[in-house]
Amino acid sequence: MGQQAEPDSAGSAGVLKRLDRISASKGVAQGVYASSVTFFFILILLPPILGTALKLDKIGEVFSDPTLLARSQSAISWSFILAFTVASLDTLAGLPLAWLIVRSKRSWTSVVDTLADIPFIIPTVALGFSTLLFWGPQGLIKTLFGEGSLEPGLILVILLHFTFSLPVVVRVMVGALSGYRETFEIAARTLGAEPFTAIRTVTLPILRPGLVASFLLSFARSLSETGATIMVAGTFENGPVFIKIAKDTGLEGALSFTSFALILGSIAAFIFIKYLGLKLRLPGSRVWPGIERRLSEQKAVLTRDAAILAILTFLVLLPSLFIAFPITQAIFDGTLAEAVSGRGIWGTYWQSMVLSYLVAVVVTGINMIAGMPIAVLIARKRFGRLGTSLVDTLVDVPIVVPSVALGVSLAFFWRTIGALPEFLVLTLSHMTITYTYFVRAMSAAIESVPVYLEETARTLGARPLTVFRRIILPLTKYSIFAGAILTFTRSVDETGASAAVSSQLKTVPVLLVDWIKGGVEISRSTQSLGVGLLVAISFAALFALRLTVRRGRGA
Amino acid sequence: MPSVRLVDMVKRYEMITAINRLSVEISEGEYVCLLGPTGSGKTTLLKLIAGLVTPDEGEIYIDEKTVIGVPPEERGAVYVPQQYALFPHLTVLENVAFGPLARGVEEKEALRTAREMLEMMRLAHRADSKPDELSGGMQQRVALARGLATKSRLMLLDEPLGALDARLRVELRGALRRLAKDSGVTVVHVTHDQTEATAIGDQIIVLRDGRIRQYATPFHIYMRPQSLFVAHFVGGANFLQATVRRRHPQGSILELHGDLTVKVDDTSYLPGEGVVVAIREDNVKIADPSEAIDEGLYNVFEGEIQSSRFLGAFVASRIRLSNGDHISSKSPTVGEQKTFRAGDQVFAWFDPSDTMVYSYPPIGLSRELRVM
Repeated sequence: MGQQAEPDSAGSAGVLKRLDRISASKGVAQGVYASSVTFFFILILLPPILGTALKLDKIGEVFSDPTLLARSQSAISWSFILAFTVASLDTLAGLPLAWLIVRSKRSWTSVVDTLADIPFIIPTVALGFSTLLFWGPQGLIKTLFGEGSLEPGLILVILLHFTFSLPVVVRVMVGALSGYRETFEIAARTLGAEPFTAIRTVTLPILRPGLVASFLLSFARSLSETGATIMVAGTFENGPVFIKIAKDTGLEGALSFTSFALILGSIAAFIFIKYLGLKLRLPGSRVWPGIERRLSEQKAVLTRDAAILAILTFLVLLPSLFIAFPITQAIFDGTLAEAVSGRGIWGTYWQSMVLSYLVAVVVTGINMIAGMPIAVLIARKRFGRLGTSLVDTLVDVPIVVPSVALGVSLAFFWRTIGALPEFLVLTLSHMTITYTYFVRAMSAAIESVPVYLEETARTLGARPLTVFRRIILPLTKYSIFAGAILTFTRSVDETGASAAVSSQLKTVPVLLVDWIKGGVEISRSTQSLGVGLLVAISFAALFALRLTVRRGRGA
Repeated sequence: MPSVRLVDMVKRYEMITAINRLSVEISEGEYVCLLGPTGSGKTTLLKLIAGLVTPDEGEIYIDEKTVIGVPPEERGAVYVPQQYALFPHLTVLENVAFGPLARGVEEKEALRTAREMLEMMRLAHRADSKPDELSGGMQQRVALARGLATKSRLMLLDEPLGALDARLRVELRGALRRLAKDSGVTVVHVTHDQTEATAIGDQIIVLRDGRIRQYATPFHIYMRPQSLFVAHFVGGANFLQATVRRRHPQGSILELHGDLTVKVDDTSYLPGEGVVVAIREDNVKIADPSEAIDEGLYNVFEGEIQSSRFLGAFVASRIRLSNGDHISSKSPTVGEQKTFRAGDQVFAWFDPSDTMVYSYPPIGLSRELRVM
């Protein structure tokens, strides 16, 4: 990774050699670990926790206003009800879909596999806008059937959350299912169990960790999503929507109260689900031969597959892709020319675009450098069993807590510390919300590299840095890429935290939420093109990155 | 000059002591097999020498220089794990060149050394293959070539033949030893297979519970095992519990229960002492009672064949003696008619010079013999 300038090869080789020699001393390794753990605690973990704590005195304000208190409480409860509902629906729909993808012998299922990822690649604000239009008065359903349009509100929010969480669930479950050895199921079948019974009593209990993980992930995504939710919420208020309103209208007490409650509540909910998910016993011993035989029949399986494909098409794919129509319109009605000229509101738009990508690049770079030692530490248990599992658990906190609450807390914290420039606060908040992704991707990858490869390399004469450069990095480069992409897209995508910390600087998603939901009258074409350009540039960036990596591989 | 010397080595893991006050010297150029059951501390010992595990107490010298605190890359001891640890992203040539490159040798020179090594291993034609395209035997040779390319004088091989199938494992024993001898390196080879250790090693170290039970040539280990455990673990034997009855200058008379007596050459135990007499299975001979038996024979027992298994060159029989003890015999296969069957009445005998006598172990016979 040629980030630093290399004047001549001999010089850089000399530097490498010196670094290599330094890396052999134990103190240096400990120093690197210690400083990256310190970085994690001081810049990533503690600020969001301390932020709201600093404003505890403000929280009192809420209790003197019963209406406001009731509104906050209702918003908080709705956040959890919504997340629980969405996670349940996603798990229910994701399991048969993942099953179809992994187990079907037909070749078109690989297409389904790819299609299921679409909502994951499209920025959530774009998904929100697309969903809004799809179900709206000029939407596909209304146009086709004459009715069935949905007003912004709870139902639309549920549909939206279902759409953007499903790919995550499918991804995790496909992973778990492909890693599962079918022999257990076959053994159950030869012992006389119907296919459905074998799956229910043998396969699912074994795959429970995967089920719990996908439930938790969709739960977290639903709890956290802000921008798209605001677009389709109407008068419905959950935590993030209410926080955004409270911030825009300057209700500091309600703001800190709701954020504080969401942070504590989400951590508690996660521990609870994780614990319950691992303790809960599925009803595995009872068998209903009659019903289960009928459920195992060809007809039942076909019906199930058809139903799940219909759900995928009408509730996920079409609502995600519907935005293509207004975008195409906008390209031809002259809005594109206006956008390219950068006049009027488009000037702000392009500034936001630059800001979004600048923040994402900086954040990805910092998190890669700061996260790498933590990933090694977790994968190789460098802090002993207890210390390592503590770090391991704490690393997840940033994705567990709703990002908008994190943002609020971070803004409080960094403003209390000193009058930091807004760009810095924005960057710091994005560092926190994306921190987990690179560390998780990397630690999993390093764990998959056998320790004996490192040990052997050492005895062959390689110092620790050489082992890392020549063994670990080449063997994990795809995960480095994947981790970086995740961090990068998550940062570009983020609305909640960005909206919470900024007053002047607006990232593209925040600006788009304002365009679509704000008081200002902006034409549908402009809105669509704004969203469309974000999608197009995201795709282009991903594509460019992929090309660079491929070229790097060839060399 | 000893190549490796360990003094009072102790290594504890949370609950267990893996290496328990162990001292040993390994001479330069020797091929030493480290033999022991699972959990005896073989791999830990290897990793201690390599510097991959830090000892709790004791000293390690390589070429008479202390290496405590010296990182693995500076010890000049190449560790080869059972899976060979060939780097999957590098070609065979790049794997072999890894060591010299890591030590700062210029690339051209490193590749030249690597090619030489591959040639020596007759693998030059596979230089550009990736490790996973090679057979198990080839992978093993690459791992050795890679070790030798570092110019290290000490190879630490952890179950080097363990990942191969049974037939190849036997075939490669000779090749492995020859390669080591040709290049003159010192080898410490970990194995749990006693026939492998006997076939390859100049010396065998028998390890149990983190202690050395015996360190000798394969011949000595087999012919003069110092303990019941070694006799059992290397070669196997019959173990009969007995009491010393009389002691003569030429030998002793032991009494088994049920009034049977055994004559042994050993004279080191006093009358009344509890002992265990061990007889290798191939030293127990069987004969048909109808055939005349030489009058001068000692230790002839009547018995009944309990079971008999044909093992190719040998027939293994289990005989129940008149006092209820069992004794196993391994005798060369003869004609089918002459092979004994279960239920046959036979004479079983062994020579007094083929017996080995040990004090009755304080922890009991079965615990002493346990290999897990």
